[in-house]
Amino acid sequence: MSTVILSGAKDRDAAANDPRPEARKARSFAGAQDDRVAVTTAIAVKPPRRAFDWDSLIRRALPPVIGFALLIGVWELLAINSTTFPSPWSTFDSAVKLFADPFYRKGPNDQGIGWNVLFSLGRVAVGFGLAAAVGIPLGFVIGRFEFASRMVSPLISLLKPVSPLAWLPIGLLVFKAANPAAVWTIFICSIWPMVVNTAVGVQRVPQDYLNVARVLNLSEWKVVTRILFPAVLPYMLTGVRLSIGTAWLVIVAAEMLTGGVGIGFWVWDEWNNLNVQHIIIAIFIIGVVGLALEQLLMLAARRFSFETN
Amino acid sequence: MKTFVKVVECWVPSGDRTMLEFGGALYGEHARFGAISKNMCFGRGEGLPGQAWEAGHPVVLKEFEGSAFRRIAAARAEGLTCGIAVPIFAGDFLTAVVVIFCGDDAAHAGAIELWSNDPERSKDMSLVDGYYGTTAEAFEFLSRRTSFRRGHGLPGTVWESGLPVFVEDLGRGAGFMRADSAVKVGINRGFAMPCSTRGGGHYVMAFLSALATPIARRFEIWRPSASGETLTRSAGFCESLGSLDSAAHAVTLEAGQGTIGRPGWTGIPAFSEDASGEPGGIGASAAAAGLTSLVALPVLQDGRFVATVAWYF
Amino acid sequence: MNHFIEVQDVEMTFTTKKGSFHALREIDLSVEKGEFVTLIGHSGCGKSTLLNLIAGLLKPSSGALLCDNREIAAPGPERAVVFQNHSLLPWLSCYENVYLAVERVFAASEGKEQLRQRTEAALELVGMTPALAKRPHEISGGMKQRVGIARALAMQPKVLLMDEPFGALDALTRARLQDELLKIVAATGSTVVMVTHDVDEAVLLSDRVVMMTNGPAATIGEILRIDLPRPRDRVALAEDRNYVQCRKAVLDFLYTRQGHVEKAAA
Repeated sequence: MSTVILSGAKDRDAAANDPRPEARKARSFAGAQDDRVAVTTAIAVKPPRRAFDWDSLIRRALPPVIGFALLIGVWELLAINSTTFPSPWSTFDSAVKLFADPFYRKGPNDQGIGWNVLFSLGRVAVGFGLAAAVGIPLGFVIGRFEFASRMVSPLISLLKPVSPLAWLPIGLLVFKAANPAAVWTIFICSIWPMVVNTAVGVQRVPQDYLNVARVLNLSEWKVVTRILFPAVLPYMLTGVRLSIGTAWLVIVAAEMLTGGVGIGFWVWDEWNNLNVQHIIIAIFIIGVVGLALEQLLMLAARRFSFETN
Repeated sequence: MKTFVKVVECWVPSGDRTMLEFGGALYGEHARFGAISKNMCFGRGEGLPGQAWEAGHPVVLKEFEGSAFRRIAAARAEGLTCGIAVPIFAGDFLTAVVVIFCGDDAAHAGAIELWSNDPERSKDMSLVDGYYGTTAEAFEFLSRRTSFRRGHGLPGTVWESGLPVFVEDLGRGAGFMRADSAVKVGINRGFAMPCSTRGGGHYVMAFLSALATPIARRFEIWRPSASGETLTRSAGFCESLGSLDSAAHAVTLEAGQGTIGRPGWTGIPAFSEDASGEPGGIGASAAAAGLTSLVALPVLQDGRFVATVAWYF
Repeated sequence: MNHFIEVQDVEMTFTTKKGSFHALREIDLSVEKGEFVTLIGHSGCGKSTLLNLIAGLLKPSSGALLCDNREIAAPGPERAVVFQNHSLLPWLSCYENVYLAVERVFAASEGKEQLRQRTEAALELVGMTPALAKRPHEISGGMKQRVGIARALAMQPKVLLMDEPFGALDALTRARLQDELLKIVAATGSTVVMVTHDVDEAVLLSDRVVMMTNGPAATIGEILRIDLPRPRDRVALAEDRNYVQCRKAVLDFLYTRQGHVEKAAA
């Protein structure tokens, strides 16, 4: 069954009751007969042509553009008054050169910007994946069983506020290498929102759904997969979204401390080379990747969401 | 003032307990009916009293024609339209059968209902039978379809307390389900009392009548004291005086004293054609209200005497 | 003496943080097969509690509940429940919601094709075939409740238990659904126990109206048998003397005899 992405409450009622063929195009059906319907509606009435809405485009695009321009302006002022701080133009120049060949390999510690970003992302993925694999089931257990909740909650409250970077030395001690230590740090900082949000989600599953499960006499497994899991999914995704920002933040810092490959290491390396342009470029890259990750997860969250009453 | 209840008779078992013989009655104006009745006797299962004895519980008679009733022509001539025969049992022992005849007509509405509960079958008390006469349209439909739980509704209240109840105004009553219908046909007085039976089962008999035709002219409920030595009037209603419930109206009799005191000892109803002769100030009160005759009916519960109901005419 | 559903001397007391709450007292009730019984009373009189006890969602503090001569020990699809909040799973389509129930009850003995047919027949019965693939948030409240009824009926339950199923709907939708329910119940011959506080609904739909006293320690006060002929037409009945009398009798119970208790509590 394909799902429907709705843009909001006001569209919901309109969408459900709108009989126009073009409105039906926005909803999908299941089954063979629906292909026929889809084809028919595709050939059917096209939306009326409207003049291009320059007004709203300008209204939406102009403020960020102005903001950005202001930033460049301030930057230029700073550059002019300083000897070491590079100007926007020279930075742009370096960037062009840098992105010309993002995937070169000259040695284990001298690789293209593309590789560095990918390595960092890789570590995040592994740490994150492990956190999900451990945190989400743990969240289910805590949410479902009162005893487990009372057992684990104090621990979580105690460990949650600890800065992930404080965990790094422990990682280095246990794993004795930079890569696993960095992954460990990602793991320990991403796991808390996932556990807590999943647990809350399980506790917040409406009693009505559980009553339905009881009347249907569903097995515990079916209850978890058909009822709990879909009901908790939005909470889980919230937990994931909260974690991803921190994870990306942490990996850069961890890599600065441990060295090796990765965008964090690269920043530190460029600092040692006093290549300020590259540091600024790195800031932009880190920001862009972070933003992309968040947007990706938001898209995933919307895809799996449903309007709950 | 015409009353809904016209005749009250009492039939007692003969010495050999094979027949029911005449044991006293109030015939009021219906002397001819009385004349033929006084010499009758009924075997078990014979006639209205015999049927009640045989069945072990009250029997409603609403159609004289074609029934076991033997005094059809006389009843019709006297304007009697319905009756109920109530056996009084002390345990399994029949002490008497009381037969009450009522008469309603177009101008005077009244109804008799018999409610029962069979504890082995359900917890509901429902209508066994009833005579509705001109009130049928208003009452009968709902009464036949309603069942009451213990403590609810007029029958349910009597069932729970085991004591008779008199309701002065059904239309205003918080306990009467059919208040709306009652008001429409002018039914306002209600009287219900528990009936003793042989074997299990709770029976409640109810009389309902209209403003113009009260059930009787005065009701009284007398309760024995804990020791059984005295009887106190605990509740009552008089058409001319109003409610007699308050402490100001409480009167006490010695057990066995007068017409009202006797049934408590014998288990048999007592009759008096001359109410003014009653002891304890009752006679004077009756005379002052213009009441001439009275009947006292005992209420037995599980073989124990719990109350006497007195009706004055 | 065997009734289809038997509630025998049931008492229900809840232990809450504020102490114990005596919800139901001395409840005795029998329901025959194919009968439509309504439980009516003011809010807080324990009628939903009684329904949940019959469903098996609650265990009585004392007393016994039997369905078809077997003790009601736990909830199950043979005592299907239609909740006041439809309780459709929002991540499943209407079809899938009903299918979940059908699959649970019949998958052991029937193939996928038969399960599909059952699901579609149930949705057809409530007139929801055009909205098979829609999600609950895409359909109106009345339609959601219809799917809830379809889900319950699809399980071919012994008893259909309905907890104020139309309470959350507007009057017109409620009237339509009541009429549909009448037709469905006539077609399926289901035994139904419904909770409501709507007097008209109770008299229109049921064979018997069970009137409950006010809580706490609520019990059954009176039972009125409604033997108006079926099929029942609400428009024609509005003027029928017997219907009007029944309706007034129930109203009188609720608002005259139980009403003054409410006023005192207010």
